[in-house]
Amino acid sequence: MSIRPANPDEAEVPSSAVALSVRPWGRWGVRFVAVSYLAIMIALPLSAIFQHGLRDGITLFWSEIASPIGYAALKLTLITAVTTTLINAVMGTLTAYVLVRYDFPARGLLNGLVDVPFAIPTLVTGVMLVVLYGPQGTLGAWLEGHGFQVIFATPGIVLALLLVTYPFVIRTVQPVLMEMRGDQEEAAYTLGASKWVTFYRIVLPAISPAIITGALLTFARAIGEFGSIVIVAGNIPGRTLTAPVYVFGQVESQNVRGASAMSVLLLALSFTLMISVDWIQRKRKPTTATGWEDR
Amino acid sequence: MSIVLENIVKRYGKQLIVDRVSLEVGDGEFFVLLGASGSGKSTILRMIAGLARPNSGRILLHGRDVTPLSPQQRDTGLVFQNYSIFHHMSVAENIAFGLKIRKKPKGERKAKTEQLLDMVGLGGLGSRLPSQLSGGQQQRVAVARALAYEPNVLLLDEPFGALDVKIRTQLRRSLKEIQKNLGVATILVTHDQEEAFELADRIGVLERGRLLEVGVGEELYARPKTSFVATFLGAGTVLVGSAASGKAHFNTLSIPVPDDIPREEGSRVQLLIRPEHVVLSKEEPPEGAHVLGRGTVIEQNFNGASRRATLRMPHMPATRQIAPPIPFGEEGFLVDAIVPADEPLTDKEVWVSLRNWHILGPPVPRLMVFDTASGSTGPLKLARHLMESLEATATLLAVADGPEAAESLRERHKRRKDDADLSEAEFRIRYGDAAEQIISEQAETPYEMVILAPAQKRFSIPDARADGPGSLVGKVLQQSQVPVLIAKGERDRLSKVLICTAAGEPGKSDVRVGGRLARRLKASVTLLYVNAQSDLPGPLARVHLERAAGTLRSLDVDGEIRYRQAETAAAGILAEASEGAFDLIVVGGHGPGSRKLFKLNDVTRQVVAGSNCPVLVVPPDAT
Amino acid sequence: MSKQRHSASEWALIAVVVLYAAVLLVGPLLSILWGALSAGTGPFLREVTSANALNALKLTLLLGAGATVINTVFGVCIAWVLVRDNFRGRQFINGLVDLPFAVSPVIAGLMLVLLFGRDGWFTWIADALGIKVVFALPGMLLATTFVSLPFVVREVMPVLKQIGTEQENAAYTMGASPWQAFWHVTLPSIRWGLLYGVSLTLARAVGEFGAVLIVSGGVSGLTETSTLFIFRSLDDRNYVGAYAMAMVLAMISFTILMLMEFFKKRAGTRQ
Repeated sequence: MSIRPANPDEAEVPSSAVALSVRPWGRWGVRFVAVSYLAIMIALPLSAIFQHGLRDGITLFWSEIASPIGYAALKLTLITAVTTTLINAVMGTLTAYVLVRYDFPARGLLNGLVDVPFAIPTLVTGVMLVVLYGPQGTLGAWLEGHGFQVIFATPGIVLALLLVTYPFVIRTVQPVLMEMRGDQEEAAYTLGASKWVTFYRIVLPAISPAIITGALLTFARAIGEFGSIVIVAGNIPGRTLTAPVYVFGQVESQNVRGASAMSVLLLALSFTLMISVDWIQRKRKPTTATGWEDR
Repeated sequence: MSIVLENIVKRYGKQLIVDRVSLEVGDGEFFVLLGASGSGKSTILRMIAGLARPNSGRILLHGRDVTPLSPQQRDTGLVFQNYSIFHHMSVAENIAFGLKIRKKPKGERKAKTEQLLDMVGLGGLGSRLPSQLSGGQQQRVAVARALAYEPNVLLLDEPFGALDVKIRTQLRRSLKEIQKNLGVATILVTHDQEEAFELADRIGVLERGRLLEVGVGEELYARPKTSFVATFLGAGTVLVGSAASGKAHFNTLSIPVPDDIPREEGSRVQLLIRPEHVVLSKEEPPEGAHVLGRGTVIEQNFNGASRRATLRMPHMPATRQIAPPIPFGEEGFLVDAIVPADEPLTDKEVWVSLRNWHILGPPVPRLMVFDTASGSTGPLKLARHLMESLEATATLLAVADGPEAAESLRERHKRRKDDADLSEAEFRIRYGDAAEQIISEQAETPYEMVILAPAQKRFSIPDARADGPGSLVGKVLQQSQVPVLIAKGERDRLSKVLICTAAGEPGKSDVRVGGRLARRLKASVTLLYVNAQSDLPGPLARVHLERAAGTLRSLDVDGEIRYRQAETAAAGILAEASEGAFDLIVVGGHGPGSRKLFKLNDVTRQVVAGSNCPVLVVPPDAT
Repeated sequence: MSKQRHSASEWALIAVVVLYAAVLLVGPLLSILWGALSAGTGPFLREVTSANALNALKLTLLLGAGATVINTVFGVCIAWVLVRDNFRGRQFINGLVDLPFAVSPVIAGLMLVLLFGRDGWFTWIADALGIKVVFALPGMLLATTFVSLPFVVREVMPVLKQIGTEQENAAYTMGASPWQAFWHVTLPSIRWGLLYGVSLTLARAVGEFGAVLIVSGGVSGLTETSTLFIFRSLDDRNYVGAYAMAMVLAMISFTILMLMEFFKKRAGTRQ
């Protein structure tokens, strides 16, 4: 799946044929449909949250968030998200490199496995983890015997996040590596550079925008993850309660105000991340004005 | 008339792609638009098909004005450069597509498809997919598809470009046959001359958006009207000589001039010599033959059926080669001849005479004069002088902020024009920023030269030094494709010309252009070389100077060579100019888009800034 | 270019990567099988075929199909506008499309509650029309559609750009109206990319949990999807039931995943 958000600046300047053939009301009609759909489905709901969360002013907004439980939830969310992002960045890059540059048995299987988290419902992911690592699970019992608790503790949260965000960095880095086609690396080898030096000096700089994009996407996804966390974490306020689960809890207890406030904060964070991703995309591919091709 | 184009203009942004093209294609005629890439031919075709809209002008198909209509409504058949066949449909489905849209019954569709498949030689391949076909076959599908619904007009956009030579010739023949049988008016666009000659009933030669000449292939080839078309279609050399007593003289050779060519005493006459016109002989040709002179064989290139021999002719007084451009340093001119492949020339020197030739109409150079109505009249005076010496036409350009000031501006300029004795000059007003409009004007019409004066100093604007890069002169120098004459002072005659061979970048175009100009002005020429160390040139510079002198001689100009020592090139040039009381300094420029003009030690800028006499800045590509 | 023979350190790297994937993914995937069948196939089948379970599955598939159809139609429309049309604010519209990725599902559910719940902005419209949005199907459909919105757009856009306009132009010169050209020429050309996007949408819609949890009332049998069924079963300590349904969902997801891979491959080889 292509994770990179599409960039409309790369769209061609429209052929005048479309401008001529599509009657003005035809073209405006399609535009209207597209824009209204997005307005109704996305813009409207988002405005509702922002309005509600900030309705009673900044002070109340902060007080909701800064409540001890809310604050702890936020902190936990951020810490687990950062941890996940760092691990994913490293492992994802390595996995992408291995998938593209090396050939080994089960390579095709691994490539297919990468897409699994896209298909599996997050709730099912949580259930699977509980079955495996829970107190009654095979691994879980063994681990707990050694004093290492996974489920209903922070490690479980990170584990769930890693699973859910597994493909993100891989799928952003893979296309870039495939585009590079190994030529530059081979050139470096013939010039005497060792594999590590080559990776560090040639490959890494080329793929770092992709890694950063994947990392940002991972982070954005991690702070919003709900389905797997709510099963796996145990949701103990102050200990294993993350921000999205906190929001859920607030809605359950009819404190829509508190839920909105936290939501607004999470949204602001996500949006900043998405904008950064878009900005990196734009920097990487300078816009080309196509325009008149055949003269 | 099946296809009529009336003054079609197409711009994209600031660029003029198609410039006032008008043509007519008759019923059943096969018309070919011939031009290099970038000449605008594909654009014209797309406008006829309706895939692009002209900025102005009309398109009529069978008497119907289709300019406002969409492509669907025009009933044309267009064969695209890359075929653009529908990949997901079979060959038969592709061909039948137009019929399906027109809701023709299934039986009719099937029959027509079969008929077309046979016609293009793809019988039986109807069920194949495009990916299973070769390039040539795909092209045939594209043609069949465009013809299926019997359009009134067939348009082909370089249809054979991507194919092998053998396939190309085959397809060409098929296409010609099909077109003849169907009798549909056709326009084919190509850059391949052979294709044009083979297929066309008539050819239109397109260059940079302008339709230069239209005619039957043989006519255009044998009797072109301009030297561009002459050397574009086929090979040849164009020589310039002068007329005397009703004949054109090229040294000892005199050629009768046809009645429709002007031949006042001393006027320039252009002669086209094609390789097949040239006769080479060991012995002196008999009396009555048209002898060009004795030439030296410098090359013989094997060409399959024949050999192409290139001969160097010695410099002949009052004779010059103007096309193709002669190599730098060449004193005489070069002529090509055709020699049978199995009889290569063995002698070094042969007699060259002409079996046939063609006289072209004289070229008329155009000058652009930028006038500010309140500034110095230097440009106008120089324009007058140049118009006489060069037998040129002039366009006076004025730029205003907006149309409101137009009337009064027109008045003022008219008065100045008349005062300067430039009443024959055309007058044009444009609106906007002065430098931009000068460049736009250049893009739309070919000019030999732009004449302007440096702007008055404006004290309020910081970087408005009269010749700084932000000034009018600076901006024009940065973008102009043709030589720019900066008229300093109020001279009305130029009789002493100083050509500076730049110390850093040896220029060639400045020597050529400066030499040509000096000759027409009957001015004396001095070639200057400035060195920092001593006043003697090093070996490389010497070679360059010799070549430069050779080029001047080929132009019939005897230049004096001077060496000078100075700390900077610019200082040396300016010193020489004032000491020698020169009327014109010729320097090389940097060409459009270059930022070198901004550098502090840029020679061109310093010379332009410091000179008291007019300066001609010649861009590197100027011919 | 992939190497065939590897040095020791390269094998080590491969081993690390494969081990990571195995522990992270394969382990849990296998364990769900174990968990569902741990009590035996009998109870497994009983749970899966219970009325509640079947209703939940039906609802999941219904919502999945609905959201997919809606997002396909509008998604193609949006992709077309973003690629072929040029107007001010196009960049902004493009940004809007990606937003569902940045929004946590619970927040998505909350947004709908704010719009259609008690004191919601549009509750009065719904009441006037006699439709119940929150705690009912329409709300759940909206939630599912929201979270799965971007996929079709994002998969169709690059394909649209890649096929270019010349084939459509050819169709225009042959007399086809814009709609005809779209139907006969454009759509068939983009079908693999489109189908890939559709399968992604379906997978996402079927697996949705957080948003529908908030928007639905969770009344079993009425507004309970498969994921909600699992959640409730866990709450009721009906572990077999939960695991059984989880396995069924996993199997459905895997089927969709295989479709995904198939379409992706077809879309990739279209160059």
